[in-house]
Amino acid sequence: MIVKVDGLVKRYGRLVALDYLNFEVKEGEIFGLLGPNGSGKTTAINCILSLLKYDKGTIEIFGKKMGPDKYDIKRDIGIIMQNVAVFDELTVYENIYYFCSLYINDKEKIKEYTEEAISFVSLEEYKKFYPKKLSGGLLRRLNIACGIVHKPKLIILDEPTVAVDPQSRNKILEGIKLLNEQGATVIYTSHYMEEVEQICDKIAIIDKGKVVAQGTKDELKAMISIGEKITIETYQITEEQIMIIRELPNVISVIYDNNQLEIKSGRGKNNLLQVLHYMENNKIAFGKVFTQLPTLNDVFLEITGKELRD
Amino acid sequence: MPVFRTYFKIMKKQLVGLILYGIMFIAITLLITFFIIRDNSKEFTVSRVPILLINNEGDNEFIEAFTSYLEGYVEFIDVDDSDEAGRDALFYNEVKYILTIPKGFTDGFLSGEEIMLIKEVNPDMTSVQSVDSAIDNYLNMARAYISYNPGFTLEELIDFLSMNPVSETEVIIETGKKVSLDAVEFDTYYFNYLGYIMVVCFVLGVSTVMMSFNGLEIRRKQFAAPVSSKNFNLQLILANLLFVLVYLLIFIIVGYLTNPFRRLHLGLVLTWINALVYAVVVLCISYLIGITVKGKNAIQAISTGLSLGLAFLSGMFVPQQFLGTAVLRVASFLPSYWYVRANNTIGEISNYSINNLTPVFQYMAIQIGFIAVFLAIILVVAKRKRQEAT
Ligand SMILES: Nc1ncnc2c1ncn2[C@@H]1O[C@H](COP(=O)(O)OP(=O)(O)O)[C@@H](O)[C@H]1O
Ligand SMILES: [Mg+2]
Repeated sequence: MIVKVDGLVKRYGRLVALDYLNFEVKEGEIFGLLGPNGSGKTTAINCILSLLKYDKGTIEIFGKKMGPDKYDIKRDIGIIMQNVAVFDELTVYENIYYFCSLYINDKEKIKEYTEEAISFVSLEEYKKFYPKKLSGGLLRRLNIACGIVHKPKLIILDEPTVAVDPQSRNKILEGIKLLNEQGATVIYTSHYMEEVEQICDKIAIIDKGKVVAQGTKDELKAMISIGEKITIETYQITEEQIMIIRELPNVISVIYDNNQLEIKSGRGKNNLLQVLHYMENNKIAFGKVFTQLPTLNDVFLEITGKELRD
Repeated sequence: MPVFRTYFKIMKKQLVGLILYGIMFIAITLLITFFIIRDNSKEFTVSRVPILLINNEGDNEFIEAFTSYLEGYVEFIDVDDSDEAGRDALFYNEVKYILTIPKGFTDGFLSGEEIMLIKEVNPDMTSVQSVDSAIDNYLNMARAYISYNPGFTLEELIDFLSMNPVSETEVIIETGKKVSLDAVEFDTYYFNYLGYIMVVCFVLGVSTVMMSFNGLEIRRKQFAAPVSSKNFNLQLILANLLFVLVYLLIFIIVGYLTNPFRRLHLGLVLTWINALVYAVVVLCISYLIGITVKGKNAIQAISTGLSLGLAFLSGMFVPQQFLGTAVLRVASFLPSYWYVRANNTIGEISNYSINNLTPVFQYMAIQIGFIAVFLAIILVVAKRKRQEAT
């Protein structure tokens, strides 16, 4: 076990930010912590790193109890904060070099690692640039380079793609996968379910400081009753006809809004077919038809009764 | 020592500004200092003490020689020929000294009798000292000549006295004033202004760097790294001290080399020590600003405002005796006031003794007291900051 969080409670005054949070991260995993803004992701990360005092619970990293002065544990952790944390007065190269030198003593090694980190995030052309001159995406990449330059065994990234253009975002996600393939265990927090679905092996969905569901993405989707989401474009359907569709076998809910008929049904084979049959037989004209498997958003919606994104 | 080295990497980015300020400071200081010194020395020769001479003896060659000698030090004022008028003039400060030459003075003096000149002064006048000693010097010289040359003529005596003028510096030595006016005065002005420029540059340099190290996210990242905060702070403190020492050393050397009357003496060394103490005070203030203030623009404003404010309130630009008592009362709560006061006191001392050095050490001790207070505040703020980050 790389990380073990057990019964973690953190209060900010009256606000309970973490409410008996539990999760475990195994070696070699990309572990996703998925939750809306304010659900306690950053707080959890800060507690894990002993940057925050917490009220209850235990945290173990690499099988040892974590604490503020556990420097041998800290040495093997790389952290990428939610907000970019670099020195404005130092160049790209100098920034990465500095953060590397906090972890490693050998000067030659620091230089070597710094160069490697720079090419890893493809900032070779910007080595001598100051952070002020970098775009949002490049700045994020610098932030990541500063966090991973010392080749940590455990990498913790807290929403590293917020306010990043799609191109940089893909690059970042690919980079994380690559680091994982090279052997690092990763904890990745986000409120973007697509990202988490894309790269994470294991996911914990958290809300109000609690893990509400946990597992692989298939396991999570299997937890909920919806098996399929069908969307049909139609312009002439009556209330009565909607009522009848709602009564069809395996259908869970039907919403008609904005000329879109959205049908959620449980797991089964002929969900789409029976609806289209009914519409044909009753001469209801329809346009485009989609079916989707449930997303993590559906999982979140079903468990908490609200959307993941506001 | 990655933190230590990075401190100076960041400081290097401020270097251009610091050097510019330094050059500006030296140029302006030299200009002002020379201006003031020249002004003062002019004043020194021009402002002769106004005195009223009542000559009951009548004119003779000796009296004539004596009075014309005195004209180098005093200005004879004419007042109505009555006791009353003389006293009034003294009371209203039109004259500072009434010198009466009694009848029979010349003959008595030349034959070696102890005949006294009669003087009347305001008790609180210090400037009369120089007149007293001018008179004493002249008469002592005459007495010496008389006793070693039994068969002298009056003419010979007057010749001798005019050939061996009692020099100005000797008068100054006699009255207990400074040995070499200009050298010490230069140092006093130079280091008083340095007190101003230290605030400008330390706030600009130290505060900016400390602020960089104290951004919340950066601090978190540092806490997450395998470096203890003790080690981390130690590196920063060392870096800060080194910066301050080097900075001060440069200005001490430049100040010494640019002083046209340069002379190494105890007073100068004391001034250096005083500057070092004050530099640590300013370092503490800058450190505190660096860990509390947010935003580099604010630093600029604070650097300007604080340096000017302290300088004006504490008499770095305007001599302290020209500041009103209300201002001085406020100023005495500022470390800069005691720095300037120590400098000025050192500048006024001619011969160093435990007695006249005691106040200097007291003023330094007060500054050290300020250091203690600031350190305490820094510790409290740093603890609060740590809790905020953790
Ligand atoms: N320093 C703090 N003081 C008080 N409340 C805080 C503090 N930091 C976070 N919170 C609150 O704790 C909750 C969790 O915040 P956070 O961990 O930042 O969530 P997330 O990272 O998932 O967006 C939020 O309600 C937030 O307002
Ligand atoms: Mg967050």
